[in-house]
Amino acid sequence: MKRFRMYYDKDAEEVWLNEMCQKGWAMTSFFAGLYTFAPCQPGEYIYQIDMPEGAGFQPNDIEGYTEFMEDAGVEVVQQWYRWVYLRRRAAEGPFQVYTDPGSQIALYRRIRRFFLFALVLELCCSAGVWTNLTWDSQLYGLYLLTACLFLLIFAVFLRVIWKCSRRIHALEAETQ
Amino acid sequence: MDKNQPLTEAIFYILLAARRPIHGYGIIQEVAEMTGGRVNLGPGTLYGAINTLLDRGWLELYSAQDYSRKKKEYRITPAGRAAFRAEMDRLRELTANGEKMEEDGP
Repeated sequence: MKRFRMYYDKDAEEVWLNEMCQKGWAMTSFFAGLYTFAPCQPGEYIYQIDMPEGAGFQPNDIEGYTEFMEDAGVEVVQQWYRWVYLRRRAAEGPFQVYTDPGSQIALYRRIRRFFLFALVLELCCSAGVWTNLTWDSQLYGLYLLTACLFLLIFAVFLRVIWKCSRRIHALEAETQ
Repeated sequence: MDKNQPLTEAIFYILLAARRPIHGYGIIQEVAEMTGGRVNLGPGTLYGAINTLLDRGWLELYSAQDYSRKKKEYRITPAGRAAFRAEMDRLRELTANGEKMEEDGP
């Protein structure tokens, strides 16, 4: 079974994947918003989404990371740019990738840094549109549409950054 | 993590579990056992902590047979032991001072 979804909040995405698994559908792959599911026992797996350390669009040493996870009994279902989809059989007990506030804060800082990087990249890409957005252009409609799309993406990225900051503050308050 | 700060619970138990060569999953199991299931290290927390400790030279990779495709094992280094001892001294001071609550209390 295939489903198309656009998630920009990994926590909400995790909830959805675990709900799907409760209904007997285990995610097996992901590509550009397209999730593939295979039948499973209801609640057979617990899914977690991680963003390991990395630079730009790729994680550092993904082979070492995968080897480590598999040695620890965790299956790396899919790697998508900086994101990694993990699962473990629910029969093996609760599964949480990050169990202390320090490492949870570090995770949300990585996500925030990544989206800041994406935001700057997006702004650079959109420069051409802003400079061409003049009334006398014949392609005004097209430019306006592109400009709106860029603004929408900008707003989404900004929201992710804001959400990460909120979670970081909440976790920091917990440790004090 | 600052070098002169108290160790986090995760770091403390990882160093303790690595007093003998041990692989990642072994650390998770031993720490859960030692704490009666109270401290369950998530694999992401453990992975990050091990990399930090390797960078800092408090842990080292240990492999008995280089050519076998075996799980990676980790072992504490002398610098790691020194940091662990310093933390134990701090904790002993803490508990010794803590006893005063009962001794001099009303």
